[in-house]
Amino acid sequence: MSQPVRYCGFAAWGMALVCAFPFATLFSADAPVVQVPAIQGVPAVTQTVVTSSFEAVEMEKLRIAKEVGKLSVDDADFNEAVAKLQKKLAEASLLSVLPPSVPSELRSFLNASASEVERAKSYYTQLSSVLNKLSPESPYNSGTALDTVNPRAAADLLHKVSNYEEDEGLSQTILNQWGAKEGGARDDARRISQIDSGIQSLFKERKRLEWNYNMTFHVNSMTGEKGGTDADRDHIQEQINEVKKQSAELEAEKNTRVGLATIPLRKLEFQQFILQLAVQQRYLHALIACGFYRNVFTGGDMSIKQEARPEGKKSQGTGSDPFAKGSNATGNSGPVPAQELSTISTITGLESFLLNRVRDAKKDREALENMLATKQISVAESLAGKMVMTAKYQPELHTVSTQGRQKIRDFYQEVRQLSESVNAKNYPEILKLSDNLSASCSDIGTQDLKAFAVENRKKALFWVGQAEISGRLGDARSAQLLLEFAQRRAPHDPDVEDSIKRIQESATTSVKLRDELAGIIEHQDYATAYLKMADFMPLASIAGNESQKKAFLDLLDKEKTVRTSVERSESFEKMKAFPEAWLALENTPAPLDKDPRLQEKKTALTAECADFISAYAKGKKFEVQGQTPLALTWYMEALSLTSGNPDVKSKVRDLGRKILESP
Amino acid sequence: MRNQTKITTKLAVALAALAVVAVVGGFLFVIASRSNSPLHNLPEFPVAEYRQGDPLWSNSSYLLSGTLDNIILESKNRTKYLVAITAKGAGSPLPVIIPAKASKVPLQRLQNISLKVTVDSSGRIIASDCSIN
Repeated sequence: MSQPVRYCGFAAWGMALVCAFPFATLFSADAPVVQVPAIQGVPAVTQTVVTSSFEAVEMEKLRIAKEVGKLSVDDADFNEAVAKLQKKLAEASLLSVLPPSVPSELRSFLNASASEVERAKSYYTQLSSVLNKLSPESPYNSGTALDTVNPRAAADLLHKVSNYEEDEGLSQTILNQWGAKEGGARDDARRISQIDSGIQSLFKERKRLEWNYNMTFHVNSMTGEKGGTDADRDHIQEQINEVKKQSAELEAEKNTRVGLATIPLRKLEFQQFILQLAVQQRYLHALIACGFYRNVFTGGDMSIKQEARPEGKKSQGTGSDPFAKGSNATGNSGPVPAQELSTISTITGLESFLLNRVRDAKKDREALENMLATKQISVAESLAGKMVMTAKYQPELHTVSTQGRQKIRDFYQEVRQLSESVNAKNYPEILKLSDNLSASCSDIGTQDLKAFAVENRKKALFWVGQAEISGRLGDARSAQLLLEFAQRRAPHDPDVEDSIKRIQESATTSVKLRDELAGIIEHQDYATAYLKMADFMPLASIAGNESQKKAFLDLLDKEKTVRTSVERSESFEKMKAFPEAWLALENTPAPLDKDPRLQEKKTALTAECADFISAYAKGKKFEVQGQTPLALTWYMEALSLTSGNPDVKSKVRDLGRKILESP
Repeated sequence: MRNQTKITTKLAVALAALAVVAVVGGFLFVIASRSNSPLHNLPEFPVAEYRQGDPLWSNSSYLLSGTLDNIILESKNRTKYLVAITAKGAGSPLPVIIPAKASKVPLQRLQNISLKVTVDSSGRIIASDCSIN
């Protein structure tokens, strides 16, 4: 049912709703039993006494008004409770509050397929093998530190690793860097040789051209002519200049390829590359590059030549590059030049940093496994998020099993569903999901969620009940308000839904009930009025209908009188006091004494005390006829047949007084 | 010795004869005194007819003998009493008004009593003479 239609329904039934308040409890068998004062000579018996409930109706109206007054305060408390629960759920799982549209590396990690994980395992195994070939003391090496270093084998393995998609060409870049140094050194030597040869050739060519140039000034002694013209000299000069230019270019190239200037440059380039890998969190690649670095630059270091340092500066220390194998403290194989500056241990520090990162990743992985095993899924998700940030390309992260990832994924999906259920006020779903979460996760308490669901469902049902009472009391506005709050508080609860539907249906029956009450009052059907008192009482108590209220009360009094007579009679009958039992019925005021229930009971008692009934009836007959002495005679007879019935005694006393005092 | 025994026997016989004479004389005295009472000349009160509401002659006197069951009421100035009398041979009590002057002795419950009664125009039984048996 849509909301407008529902509210229209509320309004309609609210206007029409005038039905009975459930006072049945007040008058049921469980109603309080009041002790009736004992009749003289007759033991007191417990009898149910019907009391008026109009006061109770007014009290109920007041109580419901208070309930309605508390609604807005309760709504604010509810919103606060929802906010607290949402905060708790958000803290339990960041992914549960992160919109799915937002790209997340953690989400990609959690949703990796099994084949991706297997491929990652293979990739990182091979990558670790490369590192082990370069650094036997590698954290991934299961062998001993005494294993031999084999850069060539490492390079071959690295070449295979470069085929993996995950590698993103980094291994090939490392190989290129390494190959550039290894191959580049050889190429430089050959080129320098070529340059030297070229410079020599150019020198010879220049000498030849200079000789030709000089010969142009020489005069032939036979002919008397010069060796060349000015044009010839200009041409030769151009050639000389060209040779000089080529020679200078070769010299310049030779200077750039001189070993002393090239090796530090190469080292710097390699170190920059390693740093770039470290910054990208490619810790394994960076360690592999470090391994190649150490095995390539034998004897090399970062020392700067005397000419490069500022004037007047002297060497301040004797730092070394430990990766430069075979080097002494300064990294040189020869004696330490006093004028050299200290070296910078860039690779050592960098490798220490990388190893720490790897060690942290290993610890995190162990913790993650332990958390998943002990169902600490919330913190496991948090830790996985941290690893994605700090160990983005580490095998410790990418080789986590799909089952472990599935647990975290299921967890945040459950938390998200819980969060949505709390927002939607779907209490049955909250209870179900809380149970599931308790079973799958040990570090998130769900008692507050369950209590929240139970309490608010009960509250909604309570409000529905109050709305029903309020409607029966004729307070349609409060009833409508309570139903709206109940509907808003538990929009998905089937019990609340059913209750609201039932109340709406009962509104239509209330009109019939009103007509029935009018008919009962008209026919003075006090028995039915009493039987349906719970339904009719609020109808009769509606303000502005005092005559109906009085008429209904009269009917109730009549029925109470009849019932009291019957109950008294039955009490005497149980004690074998049959005359008293009969009298209890006989003394019922007219016209109630004609009630068929009383007549039937009197008939049944006739056999038990026929003499008494006869005497009493005669006494009554003579009393009616005005024959007081005779009436007294028979009443005395009747009294003698009872054990001092107080009613008969009273009769005797009254009639006796009458005849005694008359002249 | 023999003479003494004869004298004793004669004395005992004389005493027994005197006792018999005394008893018979007393009985005869009582009978004679009752037959002389005016109540015993009255007709017995017709209890059954009265109870059924049959009309009785007013101012006619009846003898009502029976047991005084209870003193039901007394008038304000104690000039008359309303008592319940169960007539002889009838198991049911009758209400009788006894003026105080009609009773020479105090009335007590369970007394055997003889009353000279009349029924007035309103049907009340009123005693005018009373004797305790």
